[in-house]
Amino acid sequence: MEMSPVLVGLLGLAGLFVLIFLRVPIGIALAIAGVVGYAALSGTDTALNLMGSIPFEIGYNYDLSIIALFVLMGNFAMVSGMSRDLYDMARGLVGHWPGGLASATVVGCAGFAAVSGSSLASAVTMGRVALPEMKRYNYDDKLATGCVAAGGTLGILIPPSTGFIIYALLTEESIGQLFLAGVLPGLLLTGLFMITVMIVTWMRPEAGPRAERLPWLDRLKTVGRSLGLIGIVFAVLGGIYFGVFTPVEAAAVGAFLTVVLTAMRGKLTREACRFCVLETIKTFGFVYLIVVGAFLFNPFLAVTQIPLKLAGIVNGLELAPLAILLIIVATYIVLGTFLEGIAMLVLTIPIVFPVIKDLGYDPIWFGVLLVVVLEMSLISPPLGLNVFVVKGIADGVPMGDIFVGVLPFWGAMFVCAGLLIAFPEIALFLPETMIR
Amino acid sequence: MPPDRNPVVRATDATVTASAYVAGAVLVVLMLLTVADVVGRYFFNAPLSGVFDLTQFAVLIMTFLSFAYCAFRGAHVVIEIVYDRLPRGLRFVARRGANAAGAVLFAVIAWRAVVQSVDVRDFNETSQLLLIPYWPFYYVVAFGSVLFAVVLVLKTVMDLPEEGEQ
Repeated sequence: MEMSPVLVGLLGLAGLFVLIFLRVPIGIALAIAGVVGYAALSGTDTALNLMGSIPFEIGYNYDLSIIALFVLMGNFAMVSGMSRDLYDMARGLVGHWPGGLASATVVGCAGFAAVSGSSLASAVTMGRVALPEMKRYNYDDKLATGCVAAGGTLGILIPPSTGFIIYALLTEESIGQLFLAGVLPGLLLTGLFMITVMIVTWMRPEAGPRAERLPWLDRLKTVGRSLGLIGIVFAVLGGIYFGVFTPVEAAAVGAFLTVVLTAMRGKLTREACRFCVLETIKTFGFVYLIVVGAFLFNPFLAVTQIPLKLAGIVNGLELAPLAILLIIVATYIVLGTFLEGIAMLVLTIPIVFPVIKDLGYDPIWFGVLLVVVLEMSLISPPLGLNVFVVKGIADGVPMGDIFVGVLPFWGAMFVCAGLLIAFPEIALFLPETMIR
Repeated sequence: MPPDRNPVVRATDATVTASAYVAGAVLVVLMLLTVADVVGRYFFNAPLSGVFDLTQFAVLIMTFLSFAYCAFRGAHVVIEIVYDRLPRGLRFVARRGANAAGAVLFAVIAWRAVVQSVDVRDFNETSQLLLIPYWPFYYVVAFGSVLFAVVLVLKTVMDLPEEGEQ
């Protein structure tokens, strides 16, 4: 009996989820489900040929060097100790506000996010500096851990961002445009987080006491110490915006300048170099295994015709585009509670992206919206990864308290997503005015 | 015999770590080449030619030399939400089975890369600018895949750092 491609596709998807839930690494699960399903539909020989050609073609990719270079940059930024300077600067600027140290943490996270594409790294690096400081000022544990976990998620919204790179790869959109599209929403969300801190401390002033106001001269000094890092951020993003160089070149220049800055601060030890390079290779390995898996899975998905059929069904629903968009976003929020971010992108984009395009939404804008939703997933129970890493560095704070602490910030992300839907220009202004 | 004293594990560890260093060196060279290209273009009006080609080969090398290292350190991405709730025996089977399945997959990928390299050689496929032939790099894919498969075989038969437990 001949099974219809759609049925085989659904079986393949079911098999994929069984493998993933049995803790098969996601890239391997995708590849296995993909090649087995493809062999079932198009024959074993075609599937074997695919296994010969696709791994090479995926690895032989210019744009993907960007992941390695930006991860390298983030790792050097981490060992350089500049997170301390960033935090001191933010503290000098807003530390004396109600909940000021929490707001400073958010600002510090945003700054670190501009040199790092990883939410986990942003949370860990800034958390190590900020948590002891907030403890010293008797901050409420929930507020302190919450702002670190949530602030860290800015890592994937403020460029460079691993999330945008994977999205660009899967949809063939421009990495440069996506990066620039993330800037203003990233600043907006930073602002919303600070407002959240103020609301929390307005309701419970004892949660976040003010720190003493620093004299202007001291504040200027802290800004001065962060100038190198600020310069790098402007060189990288400005370079992309003004068309001085491609995103790949920006990544290489940014990584190089960060290494130089690390050396100038006397932190460029042999051990630091070894650590940064090997960590980068490790990160590259796990991201890339998922990418290779995805590209072995997607040909199968294409021959099942599921994406096509699904787009047809959605069109036939005669719902308003906004209603469909909201359903998709809600689905992502639910999926995000149990799937890891990159895996979620890889699994869903081939199915969702054609629908979004059919509805006439801007693909760059949708990428930004998706990344904001991914940020929500990073702090949602039960699997919010950022909450886990913050738990690892905040000794003695129960997991439940951290999840309660991030809740108001989750609300801020929700507002941010809503504003993006209402005013797409927040994301699209910079990419539309960039010089190409 | 504990895994860290097993000669096969130690030999694999050495190969995997050496591969990671090679990948890291490739990354550093790639960074410097790209910076040199940009500096040359803007300040000396003399861009390096062929950086585009070299970057692509660099990414290929980094990709396939990183998988085994990543697996050996237990750093690949897994979802544990259901697994953690399975009975102990089933968890053991799933863990070992997952590694075995991955080993088979990458053994096949290595085999197909070698097969493919013959075709690519016959068709004389090369990079665009520097005309570097593709076929030797299929052996990089094969080598990296075999190494990855070996690590996964080891993880099938003994307890090495597991994904999600670092």
